[in-house]
Amino acid sequence: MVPIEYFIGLFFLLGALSFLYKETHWFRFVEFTLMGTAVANALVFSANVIRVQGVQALVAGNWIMIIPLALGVMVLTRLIRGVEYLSNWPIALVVGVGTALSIRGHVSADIITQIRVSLTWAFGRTTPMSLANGLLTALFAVFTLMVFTFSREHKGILGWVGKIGRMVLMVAFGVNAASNANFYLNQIVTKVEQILVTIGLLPL
Amino acid sequence: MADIKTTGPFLVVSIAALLTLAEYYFVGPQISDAARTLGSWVVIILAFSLIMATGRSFLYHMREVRRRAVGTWYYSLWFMILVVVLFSVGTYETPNGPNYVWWQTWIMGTTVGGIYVVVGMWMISAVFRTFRVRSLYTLGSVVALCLFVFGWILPIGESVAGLPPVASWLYDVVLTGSWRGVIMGAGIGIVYYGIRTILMRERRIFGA
Amino acid sequence: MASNPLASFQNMRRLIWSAGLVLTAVALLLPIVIPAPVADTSLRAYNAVEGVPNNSIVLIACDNQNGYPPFFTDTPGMIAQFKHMVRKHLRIVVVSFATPVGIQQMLGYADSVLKKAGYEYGKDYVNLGYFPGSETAMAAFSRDIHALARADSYGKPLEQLPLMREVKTAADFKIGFDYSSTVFLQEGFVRQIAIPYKLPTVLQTTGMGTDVITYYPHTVVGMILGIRGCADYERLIGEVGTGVARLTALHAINCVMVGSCVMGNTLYFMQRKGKGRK
Repeated sequence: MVPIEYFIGLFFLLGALSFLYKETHWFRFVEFTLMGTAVANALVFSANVIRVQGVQALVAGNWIMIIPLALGVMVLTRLIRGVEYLSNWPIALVVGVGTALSIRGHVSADIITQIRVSLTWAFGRTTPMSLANGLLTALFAVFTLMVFTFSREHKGILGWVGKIGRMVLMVAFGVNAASNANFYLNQIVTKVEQILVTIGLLPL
Repeated sequence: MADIKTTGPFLVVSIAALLTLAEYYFVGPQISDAARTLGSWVVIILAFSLIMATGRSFLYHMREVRRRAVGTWYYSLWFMILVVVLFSVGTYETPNGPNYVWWQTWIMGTTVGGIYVVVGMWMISAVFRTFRVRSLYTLGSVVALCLFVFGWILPIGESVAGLPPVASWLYDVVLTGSWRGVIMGAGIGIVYYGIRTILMRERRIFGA
Repeated sequence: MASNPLASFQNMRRLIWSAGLVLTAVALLLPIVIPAPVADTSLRAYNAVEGVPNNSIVLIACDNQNGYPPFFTDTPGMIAQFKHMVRKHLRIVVVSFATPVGIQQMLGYADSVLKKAGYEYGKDYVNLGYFPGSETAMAAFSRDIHALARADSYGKPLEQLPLMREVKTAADFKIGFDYSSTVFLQEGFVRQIAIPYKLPTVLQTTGMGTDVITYYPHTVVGMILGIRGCADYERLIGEVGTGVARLTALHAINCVMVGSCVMGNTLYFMQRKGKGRK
């Protein structure tokens, strides 16, 4: 016996799929339900974090927590005309910490690690084929970077490097498109499975 | 006074960023403690920011209901009722509560899945429309897409001799190389933008 | 001149959508099993977990922003991984940087596996709950777990949980898992937790992010990619389930996609030829 939740889920699933036909009232109802749920979700877990990490810690004797709670309340002034400037202070703190974390993360993971791996991949290989592949990988990385170099006109050697880099990028886009599309294609398979299970054509 | 109002927040950005960077690159218990404290404060401030954003959304829908916007006001009313009810349930039960998790699982989860199916269908029809061989570059894209789907994503391609090594080569060499370049470029751009922000040269952080 | 109805994009689109849905349904209904060798990324993930010493502590980040609804793509893979983990009695710390609900859903799926293995909450697995702030929260978590999470997701202080007495920072975990459908959060996990603390990481994702493993080859030791990855992992642990059954349907829908690309190009060249003749 298929539980009632499956049919409720099916109602919302088919409502979303009705958009493929046209924007129906069914779809709009489902759309606004999703929006309401997402907003409520955000409110619930934000309130939970403030309660557990802020208020409870303050009540337990950690008086310094009054600062982040006060800064948090200042964020809400963005909704009040005339005092929006007060929200800039806590946003500044978030932007500062976020910027630093970004720099830290990107320098080590996106610049240093990528250069190191490109070189070790290129020169740490034993067979001629893998050495060639490693060198090609490093070269393609350089060529791709050259495509986005606009301080000099793409003529001569730079022109050819740019053309090869563009070709490499387009091939990579094709591969990436296949990969990205597959995320949604995987969802199609599982949702069709859900429909078939709910209507009884597939076993539970 | 006006100077503190405008310059003060930029100073806070710089100090907070420098402290967090110092924690990563220098050893010192006071620096570590201060940066760690700042980090935990930011989590709380972000929670308030989320509340602010949801409040704005709620106010917008309240305005729609008040002015009886044609064709949408009843959906906005449903939205507001849903937010109030779910927030009450989620706060009373906590987000781990059975009813809250049930709603997330069977309503939110299946609806989001349905939306993804719609997007997937549009992507398939977009492939029909956009992956047209107009030049050598687009030919490369189309060929790469087909080779990758059959040589890598679908295991059936492995019964066709030669296909998996080509797809593997595309993945290991071409995709890796090019995206490495893109990532390095993006990383350099982000670091550059971050340094501009720390040096207070980026004035658009708080809007125009 | 009469217009060709098939050439109209609107009709073509509906034809493609109908073909996609019908073929997927037919593939799911027919009991065809496609011969499928295990993908390299899945094998590496399996070997990485197999290489972890028994009784070690592992970290699972449930970073799918929309949770893990029923009939979710990655569920068979997650369950297969849990079965693998309980075989080695790996102790699990679960956290989320995307949504609080995802952990409950995931633990719901894994409940029967954990119960069957006799896992006890607090001793063998702990749910630390959700921390907003994405990379900021990840960085704070990896540096000092007890400073960020004073209690578990149910409000119990961490000092009262035996498992959490052995874990202070991300360096105390032997391997990390990140389950997400967006590469953005997975890259954040790798940047803020895996690389700084040299934590070998297995990523599970729904198709997107196939390239992440190549950017961080020494840190990301394996990936479970979508339906194929789940099917591979089920076969590797020797317990076949829904993952394998979905592979045929995945073939069908991918053929529709490639077919629409080929059809689009055929029509394009036919139109160009027609214009050339004029």
